[in-house]
Amino acid sequence: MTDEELSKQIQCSPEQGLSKVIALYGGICKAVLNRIIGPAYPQDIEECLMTAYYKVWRGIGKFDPHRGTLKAWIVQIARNQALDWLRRKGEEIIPLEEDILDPNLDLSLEDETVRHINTELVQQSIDGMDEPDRTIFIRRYYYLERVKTIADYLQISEKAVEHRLSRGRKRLKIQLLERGVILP
Amino acid sequence: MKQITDFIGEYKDQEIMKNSEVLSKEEQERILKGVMSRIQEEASPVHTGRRWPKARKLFAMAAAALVITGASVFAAERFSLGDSFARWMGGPSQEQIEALGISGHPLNLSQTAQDVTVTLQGVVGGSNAAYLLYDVLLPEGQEFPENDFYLFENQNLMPEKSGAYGYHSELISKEGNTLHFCLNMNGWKELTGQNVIFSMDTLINYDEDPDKVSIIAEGPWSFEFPMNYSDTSVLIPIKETIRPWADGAITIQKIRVSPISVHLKCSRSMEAIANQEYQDSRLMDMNIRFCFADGSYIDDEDRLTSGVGGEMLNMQVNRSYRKLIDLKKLTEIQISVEDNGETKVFSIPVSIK
Repeated sequence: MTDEELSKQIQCSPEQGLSKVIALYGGICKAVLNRIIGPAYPQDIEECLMTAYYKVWRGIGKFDPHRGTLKAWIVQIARNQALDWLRRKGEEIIPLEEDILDPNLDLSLEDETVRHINTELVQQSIDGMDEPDRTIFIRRYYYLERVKTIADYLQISEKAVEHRLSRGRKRLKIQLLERGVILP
Repeated sequence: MKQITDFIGEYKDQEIMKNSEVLSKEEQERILKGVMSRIQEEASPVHTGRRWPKARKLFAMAAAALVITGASVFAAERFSLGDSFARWMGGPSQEQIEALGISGHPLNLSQTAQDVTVTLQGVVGGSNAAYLLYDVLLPEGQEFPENDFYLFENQNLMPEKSGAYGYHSELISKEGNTLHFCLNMNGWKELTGQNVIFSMDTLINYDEDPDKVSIIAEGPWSFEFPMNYSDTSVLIPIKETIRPWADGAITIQKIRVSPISVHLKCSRSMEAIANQEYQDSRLMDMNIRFCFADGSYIDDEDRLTSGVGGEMLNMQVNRSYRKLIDLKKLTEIQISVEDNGETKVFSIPVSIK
């Protein structure tokens, strides 16, 4: 079944359509939630999965198969539930000063097409990073892992991780500007 | 959407997109049922009742609400903990910071080597954990480089008699010519009143390349001082055997909680001694949560350091935190473990006056 057919089924026969996507993508969604929330909260993870698929149903009309796969779209929604969970718990996910490339580099644009272009640029820039910087970046900014966890995994110091993140942000900013990121 | 976490939310990495798990049939059915229930609620908004949270397996400890008289902290010389420490600890109330400062022992010990001065400000703590605040200063008019990557290559802390112990030093803030550090130590034996030797050399700074460092000063600096802070910990007199794991039980002999730490003293069976390493790692994974009257909590997400030790039948767990535990508002301590996919929560009601 193609992504278009699946999304149509979710709209027309929600129970059947959702049953299929839960079977297909529930595992990867759970894996991402496990990484971010942690395996100590299995019931919260299940609640997040339910909320994620409920939002899939609510937002299925906005899914555009030309912009990406249904799988990636659903995983993104699930990941957002993990971020909400962290926020409800009062967690500062990543300090704002670490989460913004540059206060003057505002990439928040309303136009979907332009936002999609900028996202692709970020994707290419991260793909172009050397290891272990790329791994550190993904673990920190996608899986929201703590610096200590990343340091333990790579067997390097926390300071080395922080330094590579700082370097990575600087390079990302330079590359975005070089590759023509669209600003307001 | 201007934050990195937002942009990377759409990242399509092959590794991330690999389906590394498969939901069981039961899980799939539960999730579908939950989703359809919400969809139907939206379609016909008659709310039949509040959704109850899924119950975890909860064990209430035999002791009812314990009323414990808090440790009396006499107002000795006040130790001003400073704004940096307060920010680092997540912005606790002024009252909490002042109460901790009153219990602390100001040191005001300084040594200078190669124009770099290390000053020990003071120490605060509980029975088995303490925080030592110290600063590193350059001469007036000079400033440290912009980044935050500083450490002493050789740093040693030696209490005179604490048995096994550990310590961790962290830069908590930087201002101009001053670096503010906090060192946390945990010990098997009580730390209060002990003499400590604290020494360090070779202060370095990382620049652009983590493999290239610059030496700011070689030192050395060495201090000896008594840990004469008032023990801020409160003893919770509990003696209870719990079975967190299907194949193992431990008896909690006592719990001591301070604003910065918790210390559990436990005992285990003879059979468990043979498998000490396994038991130690399971104790490390145990989650301890402090619950407060307003519904907030502090748990291992706020943990700074953790230590587990075993000697024959005795075991200890020491943990220190990046947030201050308000003992007066503490209503419950929860100890939770994951055992074969099930979360077991052991609840200890607490009331400290």
